[in-house]
Amino acid sequence: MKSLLVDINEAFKNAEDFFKEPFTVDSEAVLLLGLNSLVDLVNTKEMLKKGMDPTTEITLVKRTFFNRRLVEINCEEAIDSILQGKLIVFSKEQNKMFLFEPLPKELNRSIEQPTNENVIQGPLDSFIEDMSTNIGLVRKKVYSDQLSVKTYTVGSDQKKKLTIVYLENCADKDMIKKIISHIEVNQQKNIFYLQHLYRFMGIRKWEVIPQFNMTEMPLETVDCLNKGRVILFVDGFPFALILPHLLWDMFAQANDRNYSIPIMSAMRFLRVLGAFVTLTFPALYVALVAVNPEVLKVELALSIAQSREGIPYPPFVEMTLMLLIIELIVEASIRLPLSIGPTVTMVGGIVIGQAVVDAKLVSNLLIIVVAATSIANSTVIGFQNALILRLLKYVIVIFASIYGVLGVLTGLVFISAYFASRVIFGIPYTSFAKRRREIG
Amino acid sequence: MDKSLQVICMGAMSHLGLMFFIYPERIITSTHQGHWEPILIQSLIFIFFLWLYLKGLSYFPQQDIISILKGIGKTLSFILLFPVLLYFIVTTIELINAYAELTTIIFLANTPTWAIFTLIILISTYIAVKGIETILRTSILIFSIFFPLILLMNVF
Repeated sequence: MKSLLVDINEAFKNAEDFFKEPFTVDSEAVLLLGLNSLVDLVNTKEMLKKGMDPTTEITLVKRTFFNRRLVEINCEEAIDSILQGKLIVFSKEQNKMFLFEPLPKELNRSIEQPTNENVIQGPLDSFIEDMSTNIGLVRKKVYSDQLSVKTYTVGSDQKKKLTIVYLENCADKDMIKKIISHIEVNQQKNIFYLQHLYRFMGIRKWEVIPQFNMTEMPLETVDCLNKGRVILFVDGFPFALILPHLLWDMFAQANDRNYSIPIMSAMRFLRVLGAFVTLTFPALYVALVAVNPEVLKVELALSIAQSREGIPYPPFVEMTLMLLIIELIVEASIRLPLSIGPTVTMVGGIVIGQAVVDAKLVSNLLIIVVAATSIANSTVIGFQNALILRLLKYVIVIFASIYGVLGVLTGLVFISAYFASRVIFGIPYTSFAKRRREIG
Repeated sequence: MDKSLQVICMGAMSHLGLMFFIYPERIITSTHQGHWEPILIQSLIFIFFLWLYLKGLSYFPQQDIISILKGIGKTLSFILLFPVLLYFIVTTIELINAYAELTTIIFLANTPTWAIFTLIILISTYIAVKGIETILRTSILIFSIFFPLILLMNVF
């Protein structure tokens, strides 16, 4: 029966961090097997030694140790558990393997402030990559026995843990049933990125709006739980995925409710306005300058025409060019290290500032429009929502360049229809999460 | 799900659309002075017919007009419903045509009408393909976007 150890040796023959540490448990020679990149071996040994205090009856300890605290497993399970960062105690005498929960190496960062979202005058904790810590953060804020936590292991060759969290008394039963059935049907598929998860949940490939809204903040998550929505945690992703994703998430944040109602409404109104400005301003510029200048007052039309004097190409090209530069600046400032980031900002500021106007490449007014658009785009909540608007504004710009003001109008109608047509697990994208246990 | 708000929005929008589109012209040509009289009479007639329709429907809970008429035989219901069908087809053609012509006059002098036809038909087909729920929800969104604008324009 040496084969137990041989199989494991064979499985880890390319892993330099695999250790076989001789050790004595109750004067019985054993081997400790594990990965020293995941297991804190020194402290684990200390713990094992403490468990065998010589003052207590040896046989008693032995019985407890081998029968209760350790679980006997077979070879495949052993390899699986070693990969998960568990410790295997291999007893030569009994030729058996036991599973032991070791002290893990600290591979997680601590709970810090959210980095992708900012919160003003609100709780500052945020989710981290470790799933159980995230669930703990939620549990700490929801003091209720109705909180239901279900964990699934998915994936064919690289397993990943997936947890759905919801409040039993609030959440929609049909939706939960649908989500669980999706998970169970696709249990054999790997999830490496969220795109796989979208596919996993049955979304079509070319959908702009995903089913999930993401947040880093436990406060938002708890608010969603209380409104009857379902939270999904994927191991290794430092955010909660909120199901279903609603349009109103773009404009409302749970932390708004820490302010008085007039201030809250004003802030939300600003965000709605921001979304509108993002969608319509570039398109309106193209429409009014290129197709329908007669809609404007004569003075205004003249001043716009004056500012465009000497500019060689049509407004659509002008607009696309500048929007492209803005997008490039945004993309570059994400990519660059923090220390070089300001350079891009500065150079970008010069380019879209005066230089491009002085060179008679674009008009003054266009700079204002583009700047207003990119500022307004950031007022909506959540980077993923801002991205949706960032993409959809081009649809209206294209419509506007062909049909003018009518194009802006139809573009808005088209986008409204697209938003209205999205239904996520039986719940329309445009519905409001009104009260407790009520979506739709 | 309660759809009454959506239906109200839809009704208000379609009536507002018709009102701004063809109504003023007809009313202005109808008489030289006292335009309020035809408006009042028409509204009264409209409200009376709406009341009649809703009263009739209230005798058949959970049924629409087509399923009610199905009960009285195929021929009779065809005779009663065919004009309605004809009316819808004609108004669709007529409205799209009028709308496109009006747009060419006001906004897009150089655009051929077929381009505007294509735009309108494509957008409305897209919404229609997505189903009645989408139509209703779109109506709410559009209502909340454009109704404040219409109000603003009327005030200032």
